Amino acid sequence: MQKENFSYDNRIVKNFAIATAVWGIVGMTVGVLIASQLFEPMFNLGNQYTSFGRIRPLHTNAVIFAFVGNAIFMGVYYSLQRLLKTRMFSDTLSKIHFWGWQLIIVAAAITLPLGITTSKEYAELEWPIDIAITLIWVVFGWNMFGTILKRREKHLYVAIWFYIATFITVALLHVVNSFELPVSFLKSYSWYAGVQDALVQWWYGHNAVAFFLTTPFLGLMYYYMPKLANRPIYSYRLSILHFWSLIFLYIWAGPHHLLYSSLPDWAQTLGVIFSIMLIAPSWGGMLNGLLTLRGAWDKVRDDARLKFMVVGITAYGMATFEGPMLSLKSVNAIAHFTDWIVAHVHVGALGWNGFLTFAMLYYIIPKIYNTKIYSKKMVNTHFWIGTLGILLYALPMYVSGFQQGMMWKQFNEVGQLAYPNFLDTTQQILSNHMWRALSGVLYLSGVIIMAVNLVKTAKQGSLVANEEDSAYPMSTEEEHGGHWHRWIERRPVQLLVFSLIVVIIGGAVEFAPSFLVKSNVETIPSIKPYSPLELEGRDIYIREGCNNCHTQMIRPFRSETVRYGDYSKSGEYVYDHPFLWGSKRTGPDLGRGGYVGENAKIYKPANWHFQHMFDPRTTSPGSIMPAYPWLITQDLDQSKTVRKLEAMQTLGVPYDEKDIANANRDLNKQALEIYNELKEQKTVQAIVLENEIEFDENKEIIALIAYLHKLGRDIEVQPKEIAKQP
Amino acid sequence: MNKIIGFVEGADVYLVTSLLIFLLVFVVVSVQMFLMKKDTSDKMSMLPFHNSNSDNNEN
Ligand code: HEC
Repeated sequence: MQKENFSYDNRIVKNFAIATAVWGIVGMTVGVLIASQLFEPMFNLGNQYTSFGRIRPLHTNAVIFAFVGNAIFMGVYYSLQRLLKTRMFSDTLSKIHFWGWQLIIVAAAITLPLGITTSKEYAELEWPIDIAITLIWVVFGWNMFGTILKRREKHLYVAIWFYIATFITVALLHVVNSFELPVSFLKSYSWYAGVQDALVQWWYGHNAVAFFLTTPFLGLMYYYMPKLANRPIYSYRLSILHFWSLIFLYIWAGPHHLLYSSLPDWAQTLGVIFSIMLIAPSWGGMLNGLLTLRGAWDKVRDDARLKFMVVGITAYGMATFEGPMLSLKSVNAIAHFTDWIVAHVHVGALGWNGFLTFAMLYYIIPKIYNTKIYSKKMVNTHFWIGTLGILLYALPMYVSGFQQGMMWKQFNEVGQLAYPNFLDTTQQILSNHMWRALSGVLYLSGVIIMAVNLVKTAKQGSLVANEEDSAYPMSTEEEHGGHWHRWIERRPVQLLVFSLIVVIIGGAVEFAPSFLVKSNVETIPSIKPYSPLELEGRDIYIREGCNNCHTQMIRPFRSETVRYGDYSKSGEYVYDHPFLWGSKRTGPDLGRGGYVGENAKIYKPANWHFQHMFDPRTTSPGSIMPAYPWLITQDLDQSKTVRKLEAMQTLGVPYDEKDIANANRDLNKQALEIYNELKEQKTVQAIVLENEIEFDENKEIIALIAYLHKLGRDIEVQPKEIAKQP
Repeated sequence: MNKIIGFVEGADVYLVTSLLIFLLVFVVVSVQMFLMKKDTSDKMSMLPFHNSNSDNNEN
């Protein structure tokens, strides 16, 4: 048999590498900006396009899908070709993949600041972009499978298994979670409502962490760690066991994001059990990575890239130990909704994803430019400054999360909340937020140093766009015998199908009961659909991303019911497309903001909201909520109201034909009532006069107030129902 | 609390079933790994190192 000559496509690797560095810097810069907004509202920069609620999703999308996404593609395109001894299947598909992905990122960077969002975390992009993501993802899979099919190496190395599982699961997650009904070109409503929407969203959200931030990086670790250490992986068997257990367990663990929520008990329990079990395969992966260095730890001293690897893998171990701990209900009761979760996420993101990406970049760039790294010293500096950044991020945020979580729960001797004013708990953690912003600056500086170093490296070498190699063609003889695993190692399609089956079983078992069993969500007769004005107000709430700071989910603890009112019931959310429970309480819960009955806790009259939205510091001195003056000057867009109601009707909300025909009339009637109330108020008059605002009944603020007054209004509270405090 | 947030009769079946399915897969894979021959796993773990050109690792 003759060896065949062929070449690897390094240009596509280079392109993804550049995109990784550029979007990394952009995404982290936005991160530093929003971090600063959380101690000094001035950093909202006084305009709507840069206010926290709109650009927090910009930060998360940029670092997850732009920075980490491009890093995945870079790492996969480089390693896949070499592991399979072939060029990528199609240069054209590679190019479509690259440019399509960048275009999607640009679309995100434009739409999110404009407030065009579905509000579902890490899935904020609107439906046309969702479709584009699906198409480009398919191009990626097509290209990858084409490459696998024309390979010269019969056996698929374990890294490729992780790539395959990543591809198929992300596709499934994205499609299922993106079911939405378009209302217009850039507006849609989630197909699911309330509890179901929450369940689907966190099945997605959790598994985005699993299959976008974890499995591809494990695959990459299994390739780049051996390459950097120049020795094979510690245990190949462990890697296989690790693979199946991990993808199996991860897919079920989503409900741990919804503990103590209105999700049924059994689903919560399922989430907890599988989350705890996840420690085993996660640590299997970590140990397998670290033990690869056994007997070669001296190399770590001399090679900063291995330092990045070691700290990155250790961060993975820490985050995956902490994750299951956070799923324990008692820990979750304190940590949920606080900065603790933010710290947890960043240990994973900055440590695991960031540091592995840096190690890959420092490995790949000199290789494809056929040169050595420009400055090892700068790599070292980057490592230390980055590590310091992670520590300075995590420690203050753990303290802050724990502190605020405890303060929310604390009662004094006479049985009253020790900190009844939410803002008091905010004030306590502002200095921690400053440390966080500072740590972000450090980490970002490291990345900039890296970028300079890599550019200099590229300049001193020259790109080997097509790297020559040769290998024997794959033999067509069937190997006989062996167990099924050897069999599957040679059959990528079967491997794909197997992983798909595994994740579908997990997803199906999780969803089936909540979709099939009606009694899951008990109906509450007093709950009415949103009026047209309230619905428009809700869309403004979504546009401004208020859910990035406010929850609408009162958990059944005494500390919460005393502070916010009766705890949330699943039946309250049946008309919520999408759900707006939120995941972080930077501000107080708003779930009972409109409840005026006995025991009303947080109701505020319309003029208070008016003043508060115009400038939160006037009603709540020291508040870190952004000001929303534009809501008072901007006219409410009523042109889509009818279509919105029709869409909701399609989704099962009981509007009748009359409701729809009279939508605009009803809207204006309700708006006028609120307007008439507001214009009599001195506080409102003063603001309008002082700022020379033309205020009338068609301003956005009126719709928002109508919505805030709808929250929890319809619930009939039975005073005897006192929640137990676990 | 169950009454209020809607406990589904018989839903614990799902819980037990899912655990059993996992256990099954885990046992099958473990046994297979145990039976895997040493030279197979050695061969597989060397796959990243098969490149013919100078794929050494210096920085
Ligand atoms: C940066 C995070 C942040 C964002 C974004 C944000 N808020 Fe707030 N919000 C807070 C904080 C902190 C408080 C508590 C201090 C205060 O009253 O201003 C608060 C308080 C409130 C309150 C008073 C609740 C009470 O019980 O006292 C309401 C109502 C409110 N916000 C509505 C909104 C709406 C509507 C939006 C979106 C247009 C929004 N918030 C966006 C942080 C935020």
